[in-house]
Amino acid sequence: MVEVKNLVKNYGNVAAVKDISFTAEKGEILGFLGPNGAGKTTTMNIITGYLSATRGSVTIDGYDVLDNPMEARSRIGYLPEQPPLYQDMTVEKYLGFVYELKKVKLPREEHLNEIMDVVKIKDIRDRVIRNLSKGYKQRVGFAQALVGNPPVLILDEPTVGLDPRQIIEMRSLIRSLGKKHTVIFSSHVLSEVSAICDRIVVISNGTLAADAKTDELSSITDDRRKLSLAIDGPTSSVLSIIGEIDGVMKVRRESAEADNVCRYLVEYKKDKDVRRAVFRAMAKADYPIIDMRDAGKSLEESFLHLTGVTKVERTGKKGGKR
Amino acid sequence: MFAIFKREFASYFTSPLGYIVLAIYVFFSALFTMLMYYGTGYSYSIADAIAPMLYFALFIIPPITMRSFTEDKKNRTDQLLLTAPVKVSSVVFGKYLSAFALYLICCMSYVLYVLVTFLIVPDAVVEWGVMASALIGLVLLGGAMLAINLLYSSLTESQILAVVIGMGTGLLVMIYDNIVMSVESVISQMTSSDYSAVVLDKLSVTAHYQNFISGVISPANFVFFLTWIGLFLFLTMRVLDKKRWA
Repeated sequence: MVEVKNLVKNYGNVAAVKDISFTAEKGEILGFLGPNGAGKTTTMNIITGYLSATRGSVTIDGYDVLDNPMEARSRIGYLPEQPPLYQDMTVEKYLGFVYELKKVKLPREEHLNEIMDVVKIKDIRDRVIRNLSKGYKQRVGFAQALVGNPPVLILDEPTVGLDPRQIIEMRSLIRSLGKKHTVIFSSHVLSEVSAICDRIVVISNGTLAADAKTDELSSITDDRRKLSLAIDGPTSSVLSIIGEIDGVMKVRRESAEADNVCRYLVEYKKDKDVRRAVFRAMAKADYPIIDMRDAGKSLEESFLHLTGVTKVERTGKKGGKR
Repeated sequence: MFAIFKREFASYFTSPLGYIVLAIYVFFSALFTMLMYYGTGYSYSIADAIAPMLYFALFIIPPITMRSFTEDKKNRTDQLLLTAPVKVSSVVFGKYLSAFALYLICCMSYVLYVLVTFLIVPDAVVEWGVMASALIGLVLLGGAMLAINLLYSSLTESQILAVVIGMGTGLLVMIYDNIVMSVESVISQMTSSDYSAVVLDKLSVTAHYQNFISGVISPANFVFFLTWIGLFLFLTMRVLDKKRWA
């Protein structure tokens, strides 16, 4: 549906995007993850045709965004980082304008009503956009992207600046839209991307750092796994018993939870599951396991690992917005 | 294009701008008509009341277009316009036509004055032909200035800057003839011959305008203004396109 091939974008001497390729299939929610200034916004601006690429190509449903701009753009709904709203219009007039601008053929009243229903702005339809709260403005921006029912939705950090409840609403909205649309959605918040997306594309410093299914991302970076345990028993003997189990690489006490109950962190080899062994050993020694959970390799850690935080020396957006 | 035209035109009247421009314009056009048309017992033609609007038009036009693109850049609505399935030319024409429509309404105030005069003053002499010619001149002049001011608004993000440069251009257009004359006289003195800068003369906006005021409708004058409009609208489109390639 969306195919990005060898994309390069230079601003003067600064390379904002260096050779990025990925594809998003129909009905897929693609998370676009990277620290600020990594080139997310620039890439999205190129996909939507707002900017041109220095090299490389983007095709939407088989139409190249440069060779067939009208065909390609009519298939995209774009919500930029700052929603493109005309402050002096009412919500309804604004959506009507977008409807006419995009030359939508669907029945007008019905279509706009449906969109306003989906993003829940029906009760503010007569209000002037300037006077709306940030959350409502974001929703109106979202509504704008949905006008014309485009098969591809490009959302640039749609949850930034919203309050926690609005963020949850926005996420469930994106998830529900992902059933019918191809959604490419950028964020620098990891938990968000992992909660919503089927696939994650990580970019860092303008290059592709990873492209994987959400649940695979954590496993592609390391061969260690971690286990977090709360055990009721004397610390020294717990440590020594666990340390002797085959496959355990490292064990340490993390914190005290209650009388005699401590939390331990166990590292073990990925191909050697030690959980059963730990259970049996603790049962044998009569040290009850209060809690056992997979401390995995968290997505957060993979992300830091992939994007090499220490390398991200640049701040700001590097002109990515313009 | 029509969607953009409609929105832009409506936005003149959702803010005070459209009303202010109209009010100022009508005030001055009425003033000139009173002084130079009614005040002289209709001995002058209405064209004489239209003529001084030249100076006025040069200064009222920059505020009309100052928001056209600057506002879009500030609110990021240019992202909406430029990623919609719409050609850049449609965006520019839509914006231009909406500004032009506002200006046209301003100019039509003269028609109202003359119609009223014609209907209620029995001995009024109305030279319809001259009036039409003068109005066409005024509209074309405004169209040309709107085009160049639209370009300015596409070049900057600041409305103030767009207006200041626009008014500077207006000033230049006003004193252009004098500049050319001084250049000619200086060169004449230096070469002690009768020098005339033919090409520079032909570029005088006011001279072309004056022809319309005196009732002369010649293709050359039309071509001059239409070329000007076309050139600056084209440049505006290039500026918008250039951003994509920056």
